[in-house]
Amino acid sequence: MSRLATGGMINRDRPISFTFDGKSYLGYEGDTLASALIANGVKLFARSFKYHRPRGVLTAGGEEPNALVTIGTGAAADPNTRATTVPLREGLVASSQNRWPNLKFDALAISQLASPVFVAGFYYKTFMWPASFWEKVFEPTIRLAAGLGALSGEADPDTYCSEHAFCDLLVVGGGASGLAAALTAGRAGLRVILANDDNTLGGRLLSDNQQIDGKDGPQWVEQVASELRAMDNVSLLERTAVTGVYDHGKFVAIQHLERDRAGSEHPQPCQRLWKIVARSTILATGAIERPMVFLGNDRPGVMMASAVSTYINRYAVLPGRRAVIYTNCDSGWQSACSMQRAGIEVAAIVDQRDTKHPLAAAMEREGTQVFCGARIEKVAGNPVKKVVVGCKDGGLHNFKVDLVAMSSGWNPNIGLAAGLGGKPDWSEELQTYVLGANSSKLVGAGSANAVFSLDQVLADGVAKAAAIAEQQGKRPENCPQFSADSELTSIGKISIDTELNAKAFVDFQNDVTVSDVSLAAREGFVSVEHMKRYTTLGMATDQGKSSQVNAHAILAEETGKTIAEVGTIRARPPVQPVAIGALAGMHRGRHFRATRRTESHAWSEARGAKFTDAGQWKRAQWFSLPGEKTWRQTVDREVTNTRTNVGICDVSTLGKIDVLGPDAGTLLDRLYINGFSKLAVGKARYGAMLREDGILMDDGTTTRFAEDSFFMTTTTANAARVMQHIDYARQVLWPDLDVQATSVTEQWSTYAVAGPRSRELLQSTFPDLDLSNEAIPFMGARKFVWQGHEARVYRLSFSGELAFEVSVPACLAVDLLQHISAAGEPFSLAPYGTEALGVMRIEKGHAAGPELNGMTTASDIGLGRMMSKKKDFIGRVMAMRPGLTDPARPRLVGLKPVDGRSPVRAGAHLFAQGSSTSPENDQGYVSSAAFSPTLGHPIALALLSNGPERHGERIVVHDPLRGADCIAEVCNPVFVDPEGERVRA
Amino acid sequence: MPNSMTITEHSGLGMASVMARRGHNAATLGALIGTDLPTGPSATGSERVTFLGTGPDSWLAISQGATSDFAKELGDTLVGAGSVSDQSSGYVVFRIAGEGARTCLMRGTPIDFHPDHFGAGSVASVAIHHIAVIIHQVDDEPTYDLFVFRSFAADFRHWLTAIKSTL
Repeated sequence: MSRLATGGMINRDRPISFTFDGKSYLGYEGDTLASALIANGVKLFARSFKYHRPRGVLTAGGEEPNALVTIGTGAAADPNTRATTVPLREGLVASSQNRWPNLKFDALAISQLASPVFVAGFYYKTFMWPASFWEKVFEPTIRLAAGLGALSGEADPDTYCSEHAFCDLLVVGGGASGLAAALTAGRAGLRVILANDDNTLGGRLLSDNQQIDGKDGPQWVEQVASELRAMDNVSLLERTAVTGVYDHGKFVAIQHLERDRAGSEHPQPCQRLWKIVARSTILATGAIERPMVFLGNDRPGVMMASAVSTYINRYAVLPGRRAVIYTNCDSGWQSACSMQRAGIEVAAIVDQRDTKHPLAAAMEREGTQVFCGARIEKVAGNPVKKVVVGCKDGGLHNFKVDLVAMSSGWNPNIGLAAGLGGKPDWSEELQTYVLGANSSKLVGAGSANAVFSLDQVLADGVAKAAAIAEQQGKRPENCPQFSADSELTSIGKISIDTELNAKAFVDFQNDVTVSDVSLAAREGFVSVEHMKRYTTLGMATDQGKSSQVNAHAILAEETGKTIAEVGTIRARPPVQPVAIGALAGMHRGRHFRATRRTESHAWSEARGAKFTDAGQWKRAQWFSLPGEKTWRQTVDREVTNTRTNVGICDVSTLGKIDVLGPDAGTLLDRLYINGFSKLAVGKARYGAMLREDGILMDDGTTTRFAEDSFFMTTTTANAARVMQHIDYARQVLWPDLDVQATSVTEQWSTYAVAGPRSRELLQSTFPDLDLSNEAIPFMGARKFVWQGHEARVYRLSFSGELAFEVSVPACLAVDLLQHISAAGEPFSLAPYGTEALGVMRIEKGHAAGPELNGMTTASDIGLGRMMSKKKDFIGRVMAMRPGLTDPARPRLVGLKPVDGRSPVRAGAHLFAQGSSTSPENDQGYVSSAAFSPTLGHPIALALLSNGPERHGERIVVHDPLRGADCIAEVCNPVFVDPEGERVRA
Repeated sequence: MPNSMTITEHSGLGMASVMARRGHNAATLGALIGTDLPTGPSATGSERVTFLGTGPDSWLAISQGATSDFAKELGDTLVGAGSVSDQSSGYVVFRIAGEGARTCLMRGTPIDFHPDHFGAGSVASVAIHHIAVIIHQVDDEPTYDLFVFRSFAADFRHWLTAIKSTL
């Protein structure tokens, strides 16, 4: 155990048990998985991506490249989770990844022996032949050997949700500068959101022994946090990572939630996706410490210096007993002091810089050897056992240690700023990229703004927030002032030996070494973006947070440029890994999109309905009776019953639009290819409308109920589109017309009552209603009152039978269905579904969705003569283009198999007999097909070149996808009652 | 409970969509009805009828006492001045109330429901869970009426219940 007896922000009264790779351990509340494992003496966390090298923990934060583990098991497993960010909870089950048979002995670690050949671009260069092997053999094999954690392949049992928020100021980051900024803005009365991605507020103050106003860092944090919590105008979003910024100041953030909430019987979401709109934003995201590059720098036991401080001060854990520190900046010395205070024996400090640090004398008094202008030549052992220090004079010094702490300065964590197009600028003085001048929409504060000394960090937070408050017209009141020590923050020039061989790592997560970057440069990948893609440096979960700048320095060295000239890659959102489930939120499974139900849903369900999707609607497809073995049997019965007795079908899903106003008729004349302004009151008319380009858009009936009142119906699929089309026409094209339109689809439930006995049935249902031909002829309509509400009856027929559509307000729909069914038995009434509806419309040659397919004209489907020559209408001119009026276009015909049995399938293509079935001989295709129980053989509608002139001709129906060809006779598409006598009965 | 919320469903309200005809507007229609009509996304009305502004020169009228003739009577009052369509069956009205109601709506739609920006009498046409919803804030409790097209009611109810369980 390497846990300290006192100190840290852990609760020693709350021990927590957990397992890692099946072994049980104890940690404390306040621990992360990483800190608890280190406290238990665990050094080996993972195997690396490519070479399966043993890896430990490098950092103490979200930038961790090595310690990726899988949390949980089975379907609930979260692979590639950073052990450094997972708060410890009771019963947590973690396991290591990318190893077999186990972490300690990984068979594929043998690949290290071959590492000299596994250089950048190795796969592309090696597995070139045969080309077809790449997808089938090489890539699957490589993926098996290399990689991160695996998904379970099962549905995620966790749930996710989302929330929107608005604020005057979004502060990203809850460290010293973020807290100072939020407090300043909160006191000034701004609506403030402070988003902090760590498990606790405080940032670096939890890691260093710093004091503010004479208080210890964590104490000060708690004081500021409690003042912020008390403010109504401030929201603290804890455990919330802002992952991207988008146009108009919109931010996306992911909040990790408590999964188990006391008192709730519902499973609680594990993450919340926030979309935050902010007037101003302060980036107080801190900075990320940069590793040194040397041989063996990836061995377990080599850590970031600041991470060592964090484990000591925040988690009361000693990651080692005896350490060497390797640095080129003052920050490394500060961490060295921290280690020494905690009782770690600091054997040596190796500073790349030549000048002696002011703290050197004090460290030497404690027995630490100080090397200036020196390097670590090599680290050996797994975990670390030995360090070889090379001095300027060529002398070598060996140290037996179990910890190497390294610091090469800090990179401001400014990836978010790139989301708005801001390019960072290279600072030669600070040896890092800083917020660019054009990043003005995001204001940096504290170390994100490359201000590293605590006193200045606090002042920067206050000043930035005060300035924003003033910009927004608020007077900053009671601006806080804080006193803290100033710190030394100088840094030497980044210096990486490009002669280092393969075991000096630049990118730990992707196993990219110094020589890989050098090789990329030698092979011409001298642009940083090309180098990134060639070497894979900067990819995967850490997105190069610790590797990028070192790689740029190597590239600069290799190409003889400065780092500023080399440039840096464009950071892209998300800046932290985001679970795909968080983006899906509640839109999954059945709730991927909303479902629309008709009023008859339950009524149909009770009658054995099977439902089908019609857009968002659920529609009854057919109603099986006991004893019926196949759907065809059911549908044939429904068709036959409707054609001989009477059937009822819910047609409420059709779009319904009230078109009202003195100019309603004029508008309809312009929308439809045929005229409506002269339609008599109480009459309905079938109409078709075109798109602007002359192609058919939709069809349906429109009824006139008064001079200024029309009721339009559309197809189910196009309801919303037609409504938009109408609004566009009346608002944009002809605002001079006095016409209004409203969707009333949801107001009315409509049922088709069809069949020779429909009049008798309805007459017995509505005895007061005169349904005679005189009172309501074919295509007639009238209103009546039923149960105190307005109801409507239309004499319309899609089935080709004598038929009516009865329409009532949706609240009466179930009553109406029960009322009609109750009277239906003597007439052999049976419900029919969309399948029978489809069969009957094919028997009648009515065009529907498969014919109105976005490629056909009115003439193609036999409506050419409806196109008025007396008026203009949308699409008229474009419909006259030669290509659209060519008689050789595929046009609507009927098909019946010559043998009377072979099915003619929709989608099959048509060829002249004797011609080869190749594309250049294609003459058209089958659009709709069915078995006609009325005729006793298969029938189909097809679009055939010169079709209407070819009735009687035999053609080949070619179906290469589903089987044999058949010979069919071209015929009139109206198979049943071509004279249309039944509808007028 | 700081984040509690109640859900009730109203039925039987008379509802109608109203659009001004050419040359008419909120003022002229209001004069015929005898009440002010809102000119923006807000609500006005009398004890008996509330008008929600749903778009330029268009409103959703809601009668408190349910009568099956509501739309017809309104149409008669506005003859020649406004186009009226009965929507009494078209919408299902969900009433949510309590401190959690505001959070609930923030979890559904990108509008700022802070009292400084959206108070009693405010109206918005939004999409929640891919479902079109008209929101009317009734009072400062806050209480909101949510008008949802009838065929979406079951799915919207599911969403509302699911969100309530996370408050």
